[in-house]
Amino acid sequence: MENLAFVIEDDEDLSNIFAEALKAAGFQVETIRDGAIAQKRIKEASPEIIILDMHLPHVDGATLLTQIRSEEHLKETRVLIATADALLGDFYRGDADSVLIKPVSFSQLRDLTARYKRK
Amino acid sequence: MGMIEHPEKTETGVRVEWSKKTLSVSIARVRNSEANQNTGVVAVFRDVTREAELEKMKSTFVGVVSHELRTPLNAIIGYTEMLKESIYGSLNEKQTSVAERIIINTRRLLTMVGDLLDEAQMKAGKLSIKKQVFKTSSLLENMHATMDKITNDKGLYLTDEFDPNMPETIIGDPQRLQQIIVNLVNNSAKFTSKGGIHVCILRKDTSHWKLEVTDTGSGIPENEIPYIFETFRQVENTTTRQHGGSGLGLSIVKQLVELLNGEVTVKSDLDKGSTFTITLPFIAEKDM
Repeated sequence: MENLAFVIEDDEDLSNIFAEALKAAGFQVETIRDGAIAQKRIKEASPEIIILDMHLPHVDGATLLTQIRSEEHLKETRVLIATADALLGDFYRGDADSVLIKPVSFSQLRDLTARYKRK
Repeated sequence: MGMIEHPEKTETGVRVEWSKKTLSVSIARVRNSEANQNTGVVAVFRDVTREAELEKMKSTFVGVVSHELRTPLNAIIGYTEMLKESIYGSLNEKQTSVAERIIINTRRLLTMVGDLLDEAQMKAGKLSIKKQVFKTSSLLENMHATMDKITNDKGLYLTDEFDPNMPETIIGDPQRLQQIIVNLVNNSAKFTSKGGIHVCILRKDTSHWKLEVTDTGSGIPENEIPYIFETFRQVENTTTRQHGGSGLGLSIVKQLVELLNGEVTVKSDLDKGSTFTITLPFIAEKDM
């Protein structure tokens, strides 16, 4: 699927908001609220962009990030980490394409992801 | 006769986990002063299981409250921004302005929640200070990113000055230093209606550097200066409502500065403005 984006975030509201921002940026969005399901889905699909929350049920964001970075078919995928913890954010700055510190502004997320879109 | 030697040098407050109990241990040597020899050791064990549980609960509570309060506030901001950005159809001028007010007020609430949690953590001695190398001028860049909108909206200038004698990088806690600057600029913005705010970072001597925030605001009456750093304090209670905020900004600044082994001073002229000066020690690499 072209311009596919994953929003991996367990909070329903934030997931909705992130999804709308990505849709506004022109992506087709799939929302995933559970780490274990995310683990399965990233093996099957090749999203262009992934918004990744660090606190997730079953499998946490750090594990998913390591997995994403080790998958050959995801080597072009941009990963944006969303966390409320600025210190934790700094820690992952090297591995992620961008770190979003919550509260994430809707318009900022829309504009940032629009820049990452392939076509 | 046995004497407990040098009580000030005894080992106190050591915590041990023993099965399900937490014990505190204090140990001292017992010395026979007449014979000039050590005759033994006294150890006092105190069961502090309940205290330890309460401490743990308190810090878990702060963590949970922090997450649980911030998440819905973030959602409110996000949904309101969606309305304002016309994702579900365009709004008229009045509706847009209301949406903006919701966002501003929710952001304010979010800051207050953050302030209250910081205050609670500092009171509990739980706030940790990091030591890392960072680019000194990033403090000013980040200050503009957070504060330009707020000062612009009030029609105030926000200028900065960076002493060329300051090292390009220093060791410290950039997040906490940023918080000090933001709180001071926020405070100045609240009490300044014309003119603006000037922020300086300069080298004081070989071992200290200074951060100065100068405003052209209402100034602080001399007899009130000793109290401005108190928790929940604003000069004249009536202004609290007018200026908003938790009344914690300056109290947090003072506590953070103390945690960073620095000091804060203030000079003020009524109706002319105030200057807050923070003096902090340079941290050597070996002390990291």
